[in-house]
Amino acid sequence: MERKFYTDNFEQLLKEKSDEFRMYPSKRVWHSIYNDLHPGRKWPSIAASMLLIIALLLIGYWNNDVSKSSSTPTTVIATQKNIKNGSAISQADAARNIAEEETLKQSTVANSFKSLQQESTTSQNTPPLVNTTHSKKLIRIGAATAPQSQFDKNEVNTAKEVAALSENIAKAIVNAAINSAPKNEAQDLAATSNKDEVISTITAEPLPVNANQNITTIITIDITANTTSTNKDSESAVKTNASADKKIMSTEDKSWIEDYAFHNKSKRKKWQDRTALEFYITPNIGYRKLSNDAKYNLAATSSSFTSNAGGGDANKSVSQDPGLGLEAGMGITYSIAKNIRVKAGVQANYTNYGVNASETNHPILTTLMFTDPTLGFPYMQSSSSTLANATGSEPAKVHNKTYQLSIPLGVSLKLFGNNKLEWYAGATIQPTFVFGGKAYLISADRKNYVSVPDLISKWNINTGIESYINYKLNGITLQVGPQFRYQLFSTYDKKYTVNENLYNVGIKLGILKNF
Amino acid sequence: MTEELMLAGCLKNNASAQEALYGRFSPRMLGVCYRFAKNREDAEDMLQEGFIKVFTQMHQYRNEGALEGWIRRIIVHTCINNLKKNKKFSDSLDIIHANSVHINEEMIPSIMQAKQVVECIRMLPLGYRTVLNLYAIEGFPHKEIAGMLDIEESTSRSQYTRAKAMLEEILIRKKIIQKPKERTRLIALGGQG
Repeated sequence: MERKFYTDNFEQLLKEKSDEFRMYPSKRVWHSIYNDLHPGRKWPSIAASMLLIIALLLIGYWNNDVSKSSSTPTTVIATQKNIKNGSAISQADAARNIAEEETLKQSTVANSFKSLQQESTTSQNTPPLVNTTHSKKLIRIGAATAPQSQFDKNEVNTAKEVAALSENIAKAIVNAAINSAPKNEAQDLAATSNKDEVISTITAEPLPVNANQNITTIITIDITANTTSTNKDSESAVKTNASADKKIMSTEDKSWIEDYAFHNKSKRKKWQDRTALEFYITPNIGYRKLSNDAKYNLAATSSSFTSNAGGGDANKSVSQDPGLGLEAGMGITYSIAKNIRVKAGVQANYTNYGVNASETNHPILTTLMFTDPTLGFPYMQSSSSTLANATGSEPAKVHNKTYQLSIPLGVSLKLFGNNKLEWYAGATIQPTFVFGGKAYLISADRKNYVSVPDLISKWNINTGIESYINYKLNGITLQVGPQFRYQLFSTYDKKYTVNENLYNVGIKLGILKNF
Repeated sequence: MTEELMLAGCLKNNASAQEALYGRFSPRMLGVCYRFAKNREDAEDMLQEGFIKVFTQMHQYRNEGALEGWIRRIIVHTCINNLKKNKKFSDSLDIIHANSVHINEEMIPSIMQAKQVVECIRMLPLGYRTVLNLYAIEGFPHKEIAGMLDIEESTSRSQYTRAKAMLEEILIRKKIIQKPKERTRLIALGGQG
């Protein structure tokens, strides 16, 4: 390798070595990609996960029952495998071994975790029968259970018996390790290691065991694979001294644990990918629809004071103009399917339209027509006004305004989309609280305007429909599109005989940011 | 599954085809991401983001080159964009910053040659590492690297020269290579892009 390093091109060597390098991503990466590409198909995987969890719980439950019923526990927890490549190996082997190591880690995480749990439990109860001086690297390869007959003797008292037992167990473990390893690895393991040598490296330090105690044995095996390199030229290149090796081993212990922790920690949550924070503002043109209250008309026909009331279509009796309004809000949108988003938020609204009137020289006594909300009978309430519903010598422009706070709840459907642009159509319903405003109401005879802000209803419901374009730009999404908003109930108290429904048409300008 | 079938399936947003393509290329691509990333977790995030781009932009692949090369290019650009989001990245392109970097030998595991080399590359300061990855391994010319990283072309060249020298130092300390007799000649090879 070193000769090559100096004779060949430096970049080529780096490229070759780097291209050989492979890592196997955790399954969560593919699941995240899949969910991103197919957001509507998450349910089958959730159902499968639930089934798996239930199955695991049941298996765990049954296993616990079995262990409780057994009077003499015989679990032998295996083991550690430490394959040290003391000599150089070929480049192809290097790449393959990396792949195998990654596969091995994934396939044995469950067993390792189980082993660790049992190991910690055992250390509190019983001292280990067999210790190893070479337990540095933590690649755990499985669990093996020794034959029941070997543990049925409750009189394992002597060191000799324990040593003999340990040897049998070790043989069983090595066989289990070779059998449980992936095919390629098993072949390598069988080819490159001598089982007898492996077993002989176990240094048994038997301790007195109380026969009545649970016998749980932890055996750690250091399998030193004496690999033979076919590339003798490179043999000297990867010589490592023992002390440096030990340091590296302990680092790898740590890295294995970190790796294990990483693979078992919660990944970025799916909802974060599906959820976005939205801020928007909608300048609009607002107006109103006036209509006579049905109860009032009915009552008026039988009333003796219809002549005084005047009546007539309120829309035709007044001169009013649309005005500028504004909405601003924020919300959270969540993608429930590939093409559907739901949202909720809070929105401040300012509605406004103009009233063309004229100032009177002095206050005029006038009346407002109301309907008793329970009995349905009309009645009049006197009031004074300085605004006439007519063009006079002193024209005056007043504005009917409201200040609202609403909670838009809505759904949007994606009509079209690519990586950059998306076209949505949506609708919202907006429970609304009106916390202020100005109200100039037309009198019963349609001749004057009376300022009665107290008549504005505190609660209302609005609806909105919108269509907008989303443009994705550097992690944020810009939003623009037309919007129509309509107020479902009258602005004023239901006793007032003229209903007013506000509406506006605006342009929504928004910005979205994913969590 | 053949490459043609995978491509056709991916264009139809077929999950099986996508999984097959992912299965074929993800190990190598994660290796690419790992060279750029701070840790494995970041590398997997880059891989995820990169493959989503691959699948959503599949219609742009015109069969004019190797599919792996096309995917790799997307992955590399994803890695760079990801790094550029990090404020520290621009600082790391500062040459002075990198001169004070301490090489911690114990961080290099002696497991496999390919992994050793990659781990040695990953020991380089972020700016050095990125330029070295892009130039020496991914084969981008310095001019293009300068554009990608928003730096001067000369900065890219000098970063690469220093990165190479530092990598050589690491490899010698780790005894992966021996100290060359003609070291000056090797260093002079750098920066030719």
